[in-house]
Amino acid sequence: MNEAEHDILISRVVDGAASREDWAALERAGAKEPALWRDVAMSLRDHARLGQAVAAATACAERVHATGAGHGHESMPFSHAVVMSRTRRAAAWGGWAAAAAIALAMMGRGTLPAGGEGDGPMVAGLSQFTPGQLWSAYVQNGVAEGSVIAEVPDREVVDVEQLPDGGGLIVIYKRAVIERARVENPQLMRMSVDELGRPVPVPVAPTRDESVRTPSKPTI
Amino acid sequence: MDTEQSRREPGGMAQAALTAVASGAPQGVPDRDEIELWATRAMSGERGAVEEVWRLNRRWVAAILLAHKPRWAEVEDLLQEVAISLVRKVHEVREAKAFRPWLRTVAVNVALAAARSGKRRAGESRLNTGEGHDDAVMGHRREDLPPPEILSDSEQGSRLMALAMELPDGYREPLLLKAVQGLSYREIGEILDLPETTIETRVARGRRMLRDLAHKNELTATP
Repeated sequence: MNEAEHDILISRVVDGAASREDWAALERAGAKEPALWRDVAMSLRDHARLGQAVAAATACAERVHATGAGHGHESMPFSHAVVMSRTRRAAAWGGWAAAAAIALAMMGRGTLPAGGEGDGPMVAGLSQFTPGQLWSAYVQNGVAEGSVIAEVPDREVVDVEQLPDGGGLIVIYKRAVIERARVENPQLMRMSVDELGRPVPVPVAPTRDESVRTPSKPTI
Repeated sequence: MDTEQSRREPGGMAQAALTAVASGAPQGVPDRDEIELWATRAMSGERGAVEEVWRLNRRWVAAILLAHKPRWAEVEDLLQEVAISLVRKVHEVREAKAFRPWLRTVAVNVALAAARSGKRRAGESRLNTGEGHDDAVMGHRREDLPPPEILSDSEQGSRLMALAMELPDGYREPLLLKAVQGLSYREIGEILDLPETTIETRVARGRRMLRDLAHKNELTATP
């Protein structure tokens, strides 16, 4: 039996696909060449380790969506997709503190719209819609008018409570939206810490798209 | 379409994620007919089908990117590009059978484009491994990792993956696809547009090459 045939037999054992004939051939070969069994053991161990490593390296795939329906992602520029990706990653790595550290706070004399202001009067008729419908309308209309880039696909679970009757769970989670705003006379600040470890805003120059695409320094 | 509905309903995503975590179950390997069905619908312009066909295929696409990406690039960033290409161009695919080879080509091109842009940025600075591979376009370097004797199991896995990146393309790609979610040789053959027997031979040979590399690096020390 040559090396290529050995490889195939060992590989079938690793895959759990070796037939009775394969095992018989392997036993015959192993009787003449005991080192073959060491190769089998190593291959099994390598396969398990490689499988775990590749699974870990590709797990991020579960966070990447080809979402289009209703959220306008079809026309989302790559830089926006990367921003979303990095914001998610920062939140995953270090929680909201890390996410806040890479986010630029828009402060000063800007005209950044704040939640609750300039949103218009509450219309009584809205009560006929569910919160989900209103949220969806906000995202879709925001995308259409340009104030919303996209909804962040992942939702961060904050807390989970078991229902007393065992009939399910209460899940508390955050959802996030990437928004775009025009700021007049902006002063962009980045959160940092002073020598005593206290959080302080530090002025920074606005960055351009190209810097957003630089992989090592995520900046919004 | 239950999955799509649950994704759009408040709480649906979080609950689905929790369920996946709680069960600890790996993502099921999608059936070929199921993929071709969704691919056909996606090619005809059905929006929900595009998301579904991506969900069914994104894990192996990540493995393809892993096999071809430059070291500095993040798989997740490149996946975003592939997903965007899918949304924009899936209608150009002529038949459902050609969908997976097409998606694989998109992924390879995205990884190679990233490598080219990286080279331009780096002023063509390269480091050659001496084994016919440009280390600047490989995913990992074995010297980035600590010595094998002090590594945990997961670190051993990372080191093994770094060694796998040194295998030639024709062996590296099927080996990573086989590792990622237990794709069958037939499915890998369909993705790579190669006969099933060729894939089995390459995976078997790739495993031996990896074993030899690991042995040479004292990763799998003799008991």
